[in-house]
Amino acid sequence: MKDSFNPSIEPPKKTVTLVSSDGYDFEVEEEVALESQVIKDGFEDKAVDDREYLLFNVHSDTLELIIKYCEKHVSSRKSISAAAASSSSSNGEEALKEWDEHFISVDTNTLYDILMAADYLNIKSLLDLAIQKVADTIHGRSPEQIRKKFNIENDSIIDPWASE
Amino acid sequence: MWNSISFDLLARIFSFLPPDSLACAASTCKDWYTCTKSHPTSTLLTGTRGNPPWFLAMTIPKHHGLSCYAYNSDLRRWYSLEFLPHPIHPIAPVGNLILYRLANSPPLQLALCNPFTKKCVSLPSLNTLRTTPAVGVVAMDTDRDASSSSNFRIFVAGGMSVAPRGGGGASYEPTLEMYDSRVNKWQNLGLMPIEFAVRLTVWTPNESVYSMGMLYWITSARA
Repeated sequence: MKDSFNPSIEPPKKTVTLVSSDGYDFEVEEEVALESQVIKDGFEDKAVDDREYLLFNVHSDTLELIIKYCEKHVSSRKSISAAAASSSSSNGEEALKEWDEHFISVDTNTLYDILMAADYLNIKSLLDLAIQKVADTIHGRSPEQIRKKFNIENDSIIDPWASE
Repeated sequence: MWNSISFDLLARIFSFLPPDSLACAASTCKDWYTCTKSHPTSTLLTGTRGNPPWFLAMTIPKHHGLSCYAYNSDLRRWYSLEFLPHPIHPIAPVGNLILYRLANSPPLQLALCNPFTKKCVSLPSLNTLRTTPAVGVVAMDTDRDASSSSNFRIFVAGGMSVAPRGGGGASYEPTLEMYDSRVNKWQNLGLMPIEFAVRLTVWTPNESVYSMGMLYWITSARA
């Protein structure tokens, strides 16, 4: 909101550098990086000229997706609140939901990577989205179909009703 | 990969599943099974402990002969029991499972199935083989965790002994035995007056009621 007050004096965008586990640098806008609660928590402690984060658990392929998601959410939030401020009608929320749905429609390996990264970086909305997607994928499938879909080995020698 | 996911995360995923999907997820692999038992969520609780009794629809001999259906009042869905390999007579719901006897075996042979996962398992043979005894189920509520549906006892009383080979008629079997799910074994509980055995055998609709520590059977007025 304060940005829309007088956009002309907005300072140049601050950026931070995210380094993936395989050593690639991603320069992103500060507010995009701050979508991650983990980065946000450590942000104040860091010197301004040392805003680089080594993400040991996130591969560049996944990080690219994560950044795409955060950028979309930051920009959508702005346009939604701008539309609300000018009380013009907007289907921004609806469109974002559709975008999310499309974004998370990935193969189970990618879904796993996104889930792990969202958990590690603590990006709540993305974690919720990934969790819901996994649940939806399980739903309605037989145990055998679940194993096949998620590539899980059948090691269940236990019977669901056998007492340990 | 997916079977080594942290239990906290897995439990959150499972919390979005209705009981039938959850039962399938739980029998996918050992870790997922362990997670459903060690990280009960609200859905997990309704999925196992709080699952309402199945309403059983019996066979219609005139038509398919073997069609059995179970209704889950929580999910408002009918589940066919046609996945079972043998013709059966359902006896009673046990937690989220269904106890039944094999229709093609004259001596009583009991088994359990889970309509959600379409799995079934035979119980061990009785210590004393017998035909048409009374059968009653008592769910034990001592276990407060989510797996308590697996804690139950089955009582079998009376019935006809299996006729010995080479002559000799079958006689009433005046004994009572009990199956305990925790040890997966039958144990003899002792003798009963022969007239009780007759009553429990002649008319055994399997209608029993467990109340205040007593298991009641409806019996014939004969003998």
